[in-house]
Amino acid sequence: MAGVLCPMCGKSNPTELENCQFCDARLTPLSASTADASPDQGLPLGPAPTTSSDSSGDLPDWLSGLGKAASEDEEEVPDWLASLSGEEAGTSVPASAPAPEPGLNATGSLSAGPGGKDWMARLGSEPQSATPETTPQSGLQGKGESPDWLNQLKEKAIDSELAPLGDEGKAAGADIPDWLSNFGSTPGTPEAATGESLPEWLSDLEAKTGTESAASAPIFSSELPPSSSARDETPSWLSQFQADVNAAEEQEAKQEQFDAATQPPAKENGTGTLPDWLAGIKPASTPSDGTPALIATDGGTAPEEKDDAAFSMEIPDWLSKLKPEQAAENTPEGDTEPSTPENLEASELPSWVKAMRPVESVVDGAKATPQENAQVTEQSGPLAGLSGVLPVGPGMGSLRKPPVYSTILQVTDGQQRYADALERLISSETQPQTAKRAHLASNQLWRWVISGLLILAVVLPLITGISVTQASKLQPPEMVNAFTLIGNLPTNAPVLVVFDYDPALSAELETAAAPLMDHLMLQGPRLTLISTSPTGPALAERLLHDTSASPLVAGHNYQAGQQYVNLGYLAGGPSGVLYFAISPAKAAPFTLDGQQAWQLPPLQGIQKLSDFAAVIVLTDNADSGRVWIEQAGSTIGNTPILMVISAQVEPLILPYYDSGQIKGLVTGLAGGEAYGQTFVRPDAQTGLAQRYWNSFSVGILVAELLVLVGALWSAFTGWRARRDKSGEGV
Amino acid sequence: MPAISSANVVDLITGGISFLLTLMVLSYLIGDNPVFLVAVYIFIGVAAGYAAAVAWHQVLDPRLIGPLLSGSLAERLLTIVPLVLGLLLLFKLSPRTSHLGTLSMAFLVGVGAAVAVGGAVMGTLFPQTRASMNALDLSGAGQYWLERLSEGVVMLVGTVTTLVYFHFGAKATASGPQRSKLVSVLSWVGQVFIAITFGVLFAGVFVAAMTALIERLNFIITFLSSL
Amino acid sequence: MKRTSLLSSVIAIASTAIAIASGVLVLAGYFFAQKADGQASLLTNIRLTLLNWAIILAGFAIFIGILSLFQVHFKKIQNKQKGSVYSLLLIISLVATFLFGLVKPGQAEKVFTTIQLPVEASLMALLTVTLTYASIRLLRRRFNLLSVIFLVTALLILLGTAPLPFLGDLPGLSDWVRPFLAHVMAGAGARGILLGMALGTLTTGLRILFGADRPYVGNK
Repeated sequence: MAGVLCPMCGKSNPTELENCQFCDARLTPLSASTADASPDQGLPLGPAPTTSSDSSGDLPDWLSGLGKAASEDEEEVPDWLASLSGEEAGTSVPASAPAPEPGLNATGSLSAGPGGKDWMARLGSEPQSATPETTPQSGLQGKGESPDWLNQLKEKAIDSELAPLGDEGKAAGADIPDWLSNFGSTPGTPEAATGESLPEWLSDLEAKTGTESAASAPIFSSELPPSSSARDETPSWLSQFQADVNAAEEQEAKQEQFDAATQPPAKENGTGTLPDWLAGIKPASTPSDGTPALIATDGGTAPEEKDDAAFSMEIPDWLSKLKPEQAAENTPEGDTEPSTPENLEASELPSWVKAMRPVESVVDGAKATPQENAQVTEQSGPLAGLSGVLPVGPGMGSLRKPPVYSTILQVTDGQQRYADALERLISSETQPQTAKRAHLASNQLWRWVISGLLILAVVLPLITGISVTQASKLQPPEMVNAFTLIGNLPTNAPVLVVFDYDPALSAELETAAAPLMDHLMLQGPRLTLISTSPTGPALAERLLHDTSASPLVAGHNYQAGQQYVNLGYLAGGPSGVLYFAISPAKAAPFTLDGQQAWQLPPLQGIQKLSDFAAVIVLTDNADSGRVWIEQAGSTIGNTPILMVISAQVEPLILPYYDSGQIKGLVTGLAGGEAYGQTFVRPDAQTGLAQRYWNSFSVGILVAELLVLVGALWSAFTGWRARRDKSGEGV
Repeated sequence: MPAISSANVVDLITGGISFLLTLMVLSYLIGDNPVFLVAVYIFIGVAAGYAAAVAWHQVLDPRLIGPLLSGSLAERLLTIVPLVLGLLLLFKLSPRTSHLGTLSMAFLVGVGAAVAVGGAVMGTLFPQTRASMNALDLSGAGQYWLERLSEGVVMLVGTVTTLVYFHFGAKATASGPQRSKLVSVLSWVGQVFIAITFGVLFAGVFVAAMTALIERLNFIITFLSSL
Repeated sequence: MKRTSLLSSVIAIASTAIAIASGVLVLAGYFFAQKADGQASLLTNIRLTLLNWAIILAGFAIFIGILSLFQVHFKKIQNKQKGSVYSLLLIISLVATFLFGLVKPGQAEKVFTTIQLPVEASLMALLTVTLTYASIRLLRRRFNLLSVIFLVTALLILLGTAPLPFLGDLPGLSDWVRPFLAHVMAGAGARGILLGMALGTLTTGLRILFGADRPYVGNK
């Protein structure tokens, strides 16, 4: 014996139960409380057929009931119906119209009901108003009560497009009302039922809806199974109807969730309470708030958009799609094969369903998700055929892996182009830019030009030997003093010569000191050489003996230990100089080659610093010169200090000349040249200073011109750059 | 054909090495290159080695080793102190033991400070101050008294303003430490004198470098002509 | 740890005492150099002894500097850093020159005149190009009154140092402008610098002799 199938878990339950004994779900929707008594009622399709179907001219009870309700309550006709029928509100229900309970109102609309309210609204909101005893079967049997299945139909908030309710196959069975038998009739044929004329309002509704297709029936496909011949037989058209519904449900599951206002499937009842055409229909879901059932498109085809009329203005889609003659072509009952576009007529989604439909892109994405294939498809229950549905309850539904959504960003071509352009812009900013080589190349080019010009200016006079510069006529007073002092030295005078310059400036010091040393050595002095630099002794030896350093000085051929003594390196800096100034013999006891210095002839009679006739300091370092002046000044007495210095320390040593701490000063190549011009050798030989003079003069001039022109150009470009920069800043 | 003496050969070899090294260093004018670096690193090694050899032969050997080995008792005893101090100074090579060389460093610093102080006071401070005052001494100027006076005034102003420039004392004000206006003006004048001094120094360095360039190019020409 | 800190404290105190004592003894010799009869005083002898020790320690300091140089480049070779080939060249030349100087001190001058002198002189010669380029770029980098004064002074000094080719001395430049700039203006500035240096030396020396500054102690 067949009980009531639970809409959630799909298990059979006794009919007297209100809740499922397995999942505790309500077996009947709350909106159709009268239908609880018969939870296996069919889907709320419309007004419950209450009248018997054998009355050829009489309205079925359920239709009569509908009409009564309409007549009893002559409240305003719903707009949707009024606009469809074109009749005034409150028009009495045609004679053929069933009593509105809930049923057709006076105008023939289906909206009227007890209390004159919209029957569809009452279907959804006043489930209690329905007579509990009303069952589809009882309705079919012509009882005056609203069948349960009709009450169940109240849950649906659908477009009230009424399919042509032309008489339908009354001949198909005594229980099938004529209007149902005409459900499969071609739209546009208001009167298709035999022996029964459609109410005017139904005809009008059918005409209005016309041949528009693809209105997806909430539950039912557009085609109804062929009219059943027997009460207890499921008509073929109903079976097909059921199959189509299942297929449509599967299609809808992919688009989004639609509330299904389903009714427990119409179950064939031996008592005959459920219409046969509803018996084979499985409940899709338990309607909770009267929201419409799932919309299932037929064959996956996008339902053609119908006019988005108001809910109350449209015939329920399922009504418009019911075609009796198509029932024979339908597939057998239970066929759950997904309908294909070739097999099924595309149904039309009602407007309110369309509004609830999710965004196409999401739907499309969901379609494209490969994980969709892994989702479980509901096999039973009102959601049969749907996939990706949440389980009934914890532990009750089959647990499955949550759906994995694709992470692939769905972008259009235009968006992809924009994204690519942005990425190129950003990547160009982050890429390190190579340094501009032009700036570096200009620096190197400048250096090459300067080097070439200077070398050319120096080499040409040396190679050609051409004299382009006259001899220096300068006679600085400090140089003259030095010359005078040297000239006044007695013969064989002990002279201390300090070599405190570096090899780097040996060229300048040698050319500057050579004329003075030559002049000195012509006097025949006893020279004592010392140095506070480790390389000083070697430089001293080079000056005295290396003709390349000074041919004039080397020409005197001074012998170590005889004419001169080299005391070597004096360590300690200022401390060593002070030590030497206080006690020269203790400070430097040995010569460069290890002999006892102070017993040699050049140092005979020398006890202290002041015993020397003169102290000549050759230095390129201001500190070294200052140290000798400071430390030796306190003990030197009247012994004059003469200095041969590099041009780079001239400003720092001149104050000591001004203060009288040094008596004579020869500065650089120019000073040596001037000394050489002042002291003319008897043989008129000249030193390296004269040899270098031409190159020196030409080289200095070229350098001056380069500096002058280059500095002016740099100043101009720098000013222009600063001006441009300040202009950009403004 | 004159015989080639060994001295000539040695001169040729040493001259050739000097010539090669000169070219290697002057190649820097073209751009930094490994040849230049080779010459520089060899130079540093030779200079360091030569300085070490000179320090040994002319400082440590005659002043330390000699008295220790062949000196009198008093000399030896006196020589032990610098020997110990010198060995302690060697510990400065390692950071872990550098604190042991503190005694030697302290001795060097103490003696050096005293020598520097004495020299600065007796050799620079007093004489230069006296010279600054004598700049306005017109005795012996004769007919050039105006020239002497103007030079003296400029010298005095230059000296004083340069010294003021190196005075970095300032008063605390709301907007931070600031010099007084008189000091700011005088220091600006001192900056002008310092700029002129540095300009003369710069010219002197340039002249010295130019002389070195002339000498090196002359050496190259002479060597090539002698080949 | 405690022993190390005690030793460090003892060394610090002893170092300060040595620095002050040696400095005072040397400085006092400036004022008490000779006896009334002209003989050197005890203080002078002590002063000379201390100066002798300072000279010996200066010799040790040269060795420490060279050993440190050796250490640095040896580590570079050990770690195979970039440029370690040059460090190897340096060490080889250093050791070879030192050994040669130890064995044959008289011949060591040849090494000096053959290698060190030409290279140093050539490095100085390179400065000509560098200084010329630097003076050309000076006004581009820093264009103010002092930079202009600096550059103009340098040019005038150079013009007055040597006569122009074919033209000779410029009238007034070599005999008046250059001497005035070099002797008077630069001399005044240099004197101020020298006085400032002397005052600084005096201040720093006295701080060391009073123990207020102890640069020899190092970081604790």
